[in-house]
Amino acid sequence: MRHWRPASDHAPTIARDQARSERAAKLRAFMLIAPLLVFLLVVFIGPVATLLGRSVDDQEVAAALPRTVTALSDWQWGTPVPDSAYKALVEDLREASTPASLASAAGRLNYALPGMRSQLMTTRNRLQRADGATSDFKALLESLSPKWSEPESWAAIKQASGPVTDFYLLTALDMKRGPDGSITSLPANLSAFVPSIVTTFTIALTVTILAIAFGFPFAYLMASASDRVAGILMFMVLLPFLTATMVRILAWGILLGREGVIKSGLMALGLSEPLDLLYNRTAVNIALLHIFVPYMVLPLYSVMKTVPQAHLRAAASLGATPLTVFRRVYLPQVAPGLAAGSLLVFIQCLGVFVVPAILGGAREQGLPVLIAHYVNKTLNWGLAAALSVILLVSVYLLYWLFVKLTKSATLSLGAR
Amino acid sequence: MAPIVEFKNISKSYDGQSFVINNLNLDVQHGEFLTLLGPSGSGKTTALMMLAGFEAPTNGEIFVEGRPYSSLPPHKRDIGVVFQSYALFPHMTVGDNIAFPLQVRGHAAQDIGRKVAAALDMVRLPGVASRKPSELSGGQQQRVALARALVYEPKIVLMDEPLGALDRQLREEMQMEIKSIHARVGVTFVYVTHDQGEALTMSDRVAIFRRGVIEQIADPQTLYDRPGNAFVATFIGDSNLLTGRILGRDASRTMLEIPGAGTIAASAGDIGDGNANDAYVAIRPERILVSRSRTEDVGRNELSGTIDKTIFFGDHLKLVIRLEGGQLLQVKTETAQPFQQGQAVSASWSPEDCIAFTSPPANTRDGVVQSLKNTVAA
Ligand SMILES: Nc1ncnc2c1ncn2[C@@H]1O[C@H](COP(=O)(O)OP(=O)(O)OP(=O)(O)O)[C@@H](O)[C@H]1O
Ligand SMILES: [Mg+2]
Repeated sequence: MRHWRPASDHAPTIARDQARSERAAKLRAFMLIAPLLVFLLVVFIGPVATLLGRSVDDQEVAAALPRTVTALSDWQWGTPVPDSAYKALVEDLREASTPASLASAAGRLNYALPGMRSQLMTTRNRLQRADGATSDFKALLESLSPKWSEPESWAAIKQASGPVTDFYLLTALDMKRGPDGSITSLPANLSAFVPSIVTTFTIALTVTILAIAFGFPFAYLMASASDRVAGILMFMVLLPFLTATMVRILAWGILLGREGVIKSGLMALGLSEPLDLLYNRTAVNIALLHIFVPYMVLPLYSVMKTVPQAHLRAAASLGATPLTVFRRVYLPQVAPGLAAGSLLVFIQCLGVFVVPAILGGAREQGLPVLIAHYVNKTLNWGLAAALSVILLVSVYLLYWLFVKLTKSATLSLGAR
Repeated sequence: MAPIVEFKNISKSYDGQSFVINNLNLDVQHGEFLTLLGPSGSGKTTALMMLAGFEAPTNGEIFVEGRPYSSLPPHKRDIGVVFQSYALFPHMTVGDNIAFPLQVRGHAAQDIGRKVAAALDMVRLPGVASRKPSELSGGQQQRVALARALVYEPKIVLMDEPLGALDRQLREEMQMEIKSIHARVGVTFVYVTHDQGEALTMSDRVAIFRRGVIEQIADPQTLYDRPGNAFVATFIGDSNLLTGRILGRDASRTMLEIPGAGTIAASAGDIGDGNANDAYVAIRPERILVSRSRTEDVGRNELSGTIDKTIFFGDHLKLVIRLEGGQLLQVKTETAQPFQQGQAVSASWSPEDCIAFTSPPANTRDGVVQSLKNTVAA
């Protein structure tokens, strides 16, 4: 060493070395989580982001009628439709060489204003057959389809000009924009989605409450029983998991059905009018409770196991009545398990599709059934995505509430 | 004054076959510090839990201040319990833990605040009221548990091995602390331990438990000097246990022959008028004098042997002497003793310092085996 340095000069070196070693440790840690992170990005975050995008995406009309959209960009509701818009629409429609190139835009406009599909298609077909020698585009269009004289048609195009829209989300909440852009709720007799949302949440809430009512005492028994008894009870809880859900649902269908055991038993006892056990709320609640109650029991059991008997005894010896012991000592300690179980049951109930579809009547068909309908039958991806967003947002709201209420580290992302 | 607690013919069986507590009769006096001491599984915790109301006696009745208590639920008993695991409520702060018994009794809020602060002062932990129990050390948690069990001034405080989880130094510190708190508050303490040192230092009286019965109940000095039987003699403190044959007995003295070594005189322990021949003689290691040659003091017992081992303990020296006839004798002496292994010596002690028993210490020869094992291992 050529230069002697005082000890204090070493300090920056130490700090630098430490920073370097910390960086290396962080890098190693990141490398360890990287594969899972990528996997999550691809299979979870990606699709969810796409879904969110779908619910507000609105580019079909702008793609099919670019000139019209531009011409309408400065138009205000209440003022006459500008002549340039009529001209632009005629040009756009002449440009559309095949009906297929207009189909998706026509479909989108039809959601907003029923009749728009045929209005657009008819106009295009007639326009393609007519000769182009005219300068009064307004008169031309109105002769091809009288609806072009109504400003509502133009408002529909303007509102659908994208690139993003709140149309699907509003529809999912039974609301719509009037031609002037104001948001109004649909009258109750026309509302299509809110009742389904209410149904979904009511069923989920009912089943969660039932699961607590049945699961809590059961988990308590299990936690305080001897190991052997607890093992048997645990097997009973897990037994349903060994059977395919579909089989269980169909079994419920047979059990509760017209010729089912329960029904004929009740009838034989003279207790039952030919009352319907199947295709109603009760059947759905029973089947869902049966399927999801293990998700309540297991987290409850695992926290109940950790509450020492000495705590309950100490509380009693300190003068607390059994009810006070339960309320002030036992319940707060099992609350994270109760919240986790409720959350698991509730969220899973929001997503059930098969049970209401098979065991429920028309009034039990919740959001997932509607979503499936829009995805499979009408190919209305925007609306299906918007309904999914409502489910998703409510789940995250619940989760946030859960973390807030329990401040539990077990399910929140932060460290304790 | 009538005792505050009376166990009257209490028996307890968990399985309907064997008794964990067998016909127990025990009185606890007002304001005393009573310790239940005994080996593992002897029923100490069971006795305590019956008093606290968490277990019901199979037979018999427990009286507290003359009232039958067996069917009274725990929360109506007004008995504080300190558990080995402390049992502090983890979701409450220290202050809330201590306030809990006052709150469930419906005390006024300003009283509660004052009493909680006073209780924390008493256990020398001011200023931790707002912390969570998990933020305290083991010894501090123990103090909080004690404060919680005392703050509502219960009639009796029960403690089940409260210091079991602490290391030695802290344990000794807490023993002093608990003792001084007991002296200050004057509440009746019933304390469970299987650490005999703890029992001797802290208690007014100690009840020696063994297989569900009390072998002896007395103050520490009596237990140490005048054990009632060979089990107590070996369980409390170190004791040599020689086996011998009874030659004759009068009112106070028993003459015994130690095979191969000679005859000795001992004070009579549980030797009645029975005609048993075999006896056990208990002698404390620190009561034995060792010399190079026989003292020929007629007032003392004197046996010859050779030094088998010398072990240095810092403050004292332990000599293991192999007596003629083969039995081993442990002696505690000062460190400045010039004895060497193999040296022939003479061991002597006063007849008052040894007690003869006929009942075996533990199951048959267990105590002998154990005391010999101690000797050999040491
Ligand atoms: N709840 C119970 N159910 C069945 N048997 C029990 C129960 N509690 C204790 N026992 C049995 O009763 C006997 C006495 O137990 P107890 O806990 O009273 O002993 P202890 O003196 O406190 O022992 P330790 O010093 O180990 O704590 C033991 O054999 C034990 O196995
Ligand atoms: Mg015990």
